[in-house]
Amino acid sequence: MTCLELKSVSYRYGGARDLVLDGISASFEMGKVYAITGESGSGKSTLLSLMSGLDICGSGDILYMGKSLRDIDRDAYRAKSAGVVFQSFNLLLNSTALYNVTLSMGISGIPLDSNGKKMAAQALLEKVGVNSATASRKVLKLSGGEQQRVGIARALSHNPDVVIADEPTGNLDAETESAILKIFADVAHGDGKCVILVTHSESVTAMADEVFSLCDGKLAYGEAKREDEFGL
Amino acid sequence: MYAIFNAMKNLVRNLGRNILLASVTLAVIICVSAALAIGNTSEKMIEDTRLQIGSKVSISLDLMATHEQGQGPDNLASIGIEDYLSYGESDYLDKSVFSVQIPMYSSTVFAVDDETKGQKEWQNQDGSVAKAPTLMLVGNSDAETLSEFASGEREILPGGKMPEELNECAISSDLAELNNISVGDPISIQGQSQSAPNYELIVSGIYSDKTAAYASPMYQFQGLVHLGQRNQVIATYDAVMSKGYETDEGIDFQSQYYLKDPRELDKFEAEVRSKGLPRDYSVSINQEELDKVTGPLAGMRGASSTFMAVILSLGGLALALISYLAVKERKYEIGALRAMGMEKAMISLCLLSESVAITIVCLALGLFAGRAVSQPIADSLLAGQVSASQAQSAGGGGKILMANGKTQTSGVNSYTPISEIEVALNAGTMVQIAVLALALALLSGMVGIVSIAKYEPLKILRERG
Ligand SMILES: Nc1ncnc2c1ncn2[C@@H]1O[C@H](COP(=O)(O)OP(=O)(O)OP(=O)(O)O)[C@@H](O)[C@H]1O
Ligand SMILES: [Mg+2]
Repeated sequence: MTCLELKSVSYRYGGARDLVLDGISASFEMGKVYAITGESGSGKSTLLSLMSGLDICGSGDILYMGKSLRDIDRDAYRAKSAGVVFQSFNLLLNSTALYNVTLSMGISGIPLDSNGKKMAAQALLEKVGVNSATASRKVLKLSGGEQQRVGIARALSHNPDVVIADEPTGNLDAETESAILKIFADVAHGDGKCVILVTHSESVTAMADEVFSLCDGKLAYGEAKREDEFGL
Repeated sequence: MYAIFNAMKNLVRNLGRNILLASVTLAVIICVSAALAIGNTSEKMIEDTRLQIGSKVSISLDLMATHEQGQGPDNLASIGIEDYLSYGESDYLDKSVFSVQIPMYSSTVFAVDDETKGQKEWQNQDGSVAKAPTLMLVGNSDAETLSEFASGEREILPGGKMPEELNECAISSDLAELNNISVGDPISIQGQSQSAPNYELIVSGIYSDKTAAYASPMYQFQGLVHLGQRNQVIATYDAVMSKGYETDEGIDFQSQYYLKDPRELDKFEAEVRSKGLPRDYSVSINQEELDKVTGPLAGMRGASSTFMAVILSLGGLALALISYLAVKERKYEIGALRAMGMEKAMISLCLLSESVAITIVCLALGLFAGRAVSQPIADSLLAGQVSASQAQSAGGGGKILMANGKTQTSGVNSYTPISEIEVALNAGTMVQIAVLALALALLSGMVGIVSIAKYEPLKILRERG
């Protein structure tokens, strides 16, 4: 089933002369992991911000489950349907790691009481390698890699249909990276969600079901690779 | 729910900024509480006084009006005692009080301060020569309104009582001692002219008298001993009037009407006009007294509302500025919440509930503190107002002696301005304070909301990146 569909998406920053994205079309299915590569400044984060409903494309359209992001309630889309890991994390710095995750659950309206949310968040953080002592510290006092993993836990916390992550393993060592990639693979292949990862990392492209590369505002379709043996 | 919870957590997270906000809010609430408590209490006291003084109506010859009409004193319309009494029979009135004072002479009772021992003579208006009056017969239809007795300046001594019967009277202890009179003794006094009636009275009571001996030192100097306070012979109104006076010729007759509702002055006037009160007479309350008595309160009410306006505008400005800066500082936090899918409306609600929560805490503290400071502030404000109004009216005042030997109260000094206030913080005032405080909270919350409205989450997040 198609989860997200890009139809001739173009985007230009206010005041800029050139298009960052120039008529991009692509389609993202449920149950698959996608990798998007591209040089720095090629527009990967821009594309993700459009797919996560933080901004609207200049021309063309992005459809979620067949409906244009222009028309649907994008707050609800971000809260419930999409889970976003930002390149710069965008966590609440003055709150604890745990609270960042439970707050996201709260915003999504997940049917759990506050204790249930705490337990679920704790388990999720544990899974991405953040132990409960670290989880109870303010985000401000966490390392880049720890913050990144809190961001990943937060993106997964409300069980979204589409997970959109901007270089989610950029700050992680190889061992942690492979553990995180296994989680993303489980989410796509096990839970049947759509996972879209922006990356420079070889190991990410290696585990992805499909790879795109962004260059000069165009999205080129890389050859489909299926590493069935990866991490399984 | 989770969002409001988040807002409350934010209060603690941003403790420094919130303490700043709370301090300004608290200061504003304390000032507003004090100002409102003082203003409202003054207002209420002014209103109470207005009801009191405003219900006291006099009917008197309007000298200004008659002068404007070019009437000489000879062709003035006159009204009889009967008329004054009939005006008193009105449904608009709570009661009417009539009082009468008649200058008297006695060959057996010598007046205090009278060095001539009753031998002084003077010429009456009709040209006849008579003994000068030495005593003043006083009758009042409502003993309660004999204010000297009410205030305790005069007090009936043990063994006596206020006059009740037609043949009873009370005299001052000075007059009693001078003439060796005790309770139960008869006295005999007579009017000035040959035809004037005589009174044979029994002394039913003797009173101590701490009032000023003369309303004006001039009276004593001129030997007008019958105007001396110690030389009054107090009988009942009925006793004095039992000799059948029909007009106020030769007697000082005064009427005072007390309205049930001061707002019905117009209706009462219409009624007495229909009963035949000539245009030369005015029906009026004592505006001068009202203004004088309530003057300091009105001044204080004005001062407190000016103060409140200044505090509210300065405080509002400060709060608006702080919350504008606070939201600017919290832009990133707001961007992150928006990126997580929290709606603008929800974030606005959070900001509002933060400032409302701060305000509620400040309100509780501020009401207490405001109540505590308002009394000393009011005392010193009022003292200032009272001394200002006294300085203004220094000199002048007192009683004026008129040609016919009557006296008339005039001038400003005879009214004592209200000089004490007990500031109350009643439920109504507290509600007003709460409403103002919440309005301030909404204002500072709104400033935040208006400024986040222009933030798009992506822009905010990118700016930070
Ligand atoms: N707010 C902005 N206003 C104007 N131009 C912008 C803005 N943000 C990004 N750009 C430009 O748009 C282009 C694409 O930026 P984007 O952040 O999408 O790149 P990226 O592929 O994510 O790069 P990186 O790999 O370094 O994260 C860049 O040339 C960048 O300078
Ligand atoms: Mg990027």
